[in-house]
This record gives sequence, structure tokens and C-alpha cells, in this order.
Amino acid sequence: MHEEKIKKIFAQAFEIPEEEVHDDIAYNSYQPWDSLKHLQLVSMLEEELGIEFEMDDIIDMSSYKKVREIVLKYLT
Amino acid sequence: MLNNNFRIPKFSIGIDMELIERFEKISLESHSNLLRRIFTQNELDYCFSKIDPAQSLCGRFCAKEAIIKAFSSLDQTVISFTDIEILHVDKKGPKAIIIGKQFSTDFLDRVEIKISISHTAQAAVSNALVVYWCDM
Repeated sequence: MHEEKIKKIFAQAFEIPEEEVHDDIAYNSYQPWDSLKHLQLVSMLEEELGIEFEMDDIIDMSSYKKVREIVLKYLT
Repeated sequence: MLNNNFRIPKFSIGIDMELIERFEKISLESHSNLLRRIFTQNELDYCFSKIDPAQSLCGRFCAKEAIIKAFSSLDQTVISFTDIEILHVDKKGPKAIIIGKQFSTDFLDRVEIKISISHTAQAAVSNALVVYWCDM
């Protein structure tokens, strides 16, 4: 259930359909994922899931796969 | 600068450019968390006192990003958006200071930051020069 919600928030942040969200989407290779979008994604995840990330975790969110792993760490 | 008589400077530069329209939909009411991850209260007070807050927010974001990039290649420390405050100084232009409480007096004494910010109707751009004074 958490994973579905994370995917939904990620899709909303990047304004793409959920079907287009996959593990290989990465900060370095996905053009829409720049520093401002990264902070928007972080803020949306924090607000919608009621969590607050450590700075090291924000820096480590280098792909959708990593985002999911880090968010799940806060939710479980 | 008296303390830097026996130090040598390491220079680093950073640059960033963003479209102003990306900040036009951002408001204090609906994007408070995002804004507070990027800007200090002083910066928000200044930007939202302007007729066009998006332009001021965008310029400050670019300046902070340029400074973060410059620090990143210096490899001395990790610095985040809210560790930096961009002060508006009339005529002399904007000035950047480090306000993060985790930085030691010694570190702050070794760092100098120079920035420049420019806008068109569509975009803002900023470059930053960071000087870190190392021991000889």
C-alpha cells in the first residue's frame, strides 16, 4: 500500500502517468529531474506521508528505486 | 582578512539558471514546506513583499544553487539551501552569507562568497565564486 502511494506522489510530482514510473528513472539521466524538482518531490512526500527526511537521505534519493527504499524506511 | 596572511586560497565557481515560471505557481499558503526547505524567513519576507515574488525567488534559488555547486567541487563541506542567506544590498547588489549553525567560526573565517544574479522576463541566472583559505 505504501509503495502504491509513493508511486502516485512521484507521478504527481513529475506530472507523468503512474505507468511511466519505474525503478530506472534517475536524477542524472531523467531530464525533468533537476534540483528544484527534487525539492518539490521531497516536500510532496513529506507533506502527504507525514514524514521529515534527514539531509543525507534527501541527497541519496538518486533514483525512483532509492526514493522508494528511503521513504519505506521512514514508514516502517 | 588578517587571519588569512598565512593561508592560500582555493577557488571554486558555480552557476545555475531557472525559468521564472516554475516559481509563479508557488505560494506561501500552499507550498510552505517547499519554500522553507529552500529559503530563510528573511528571504521569504523580502521576496513576498515584491510585486513579482517569482522573479526574486527564482534569482535567489539560482544563487543558492550556484553556491552549493561551488562548495561541492571544493569538497570541504556539504551545504544546503537554508544554510545560505541571500541578502539584498541596494546598488552594491546581492550578498550571500552562511547562516548554518553547524559551521565553526574557523570554517566561516576561511570562506568568502561572491555572487551575481541576473534576470530576463523568462529566466534568472546566477554565478557564484567561493574562496576557501587553506593553511599553507
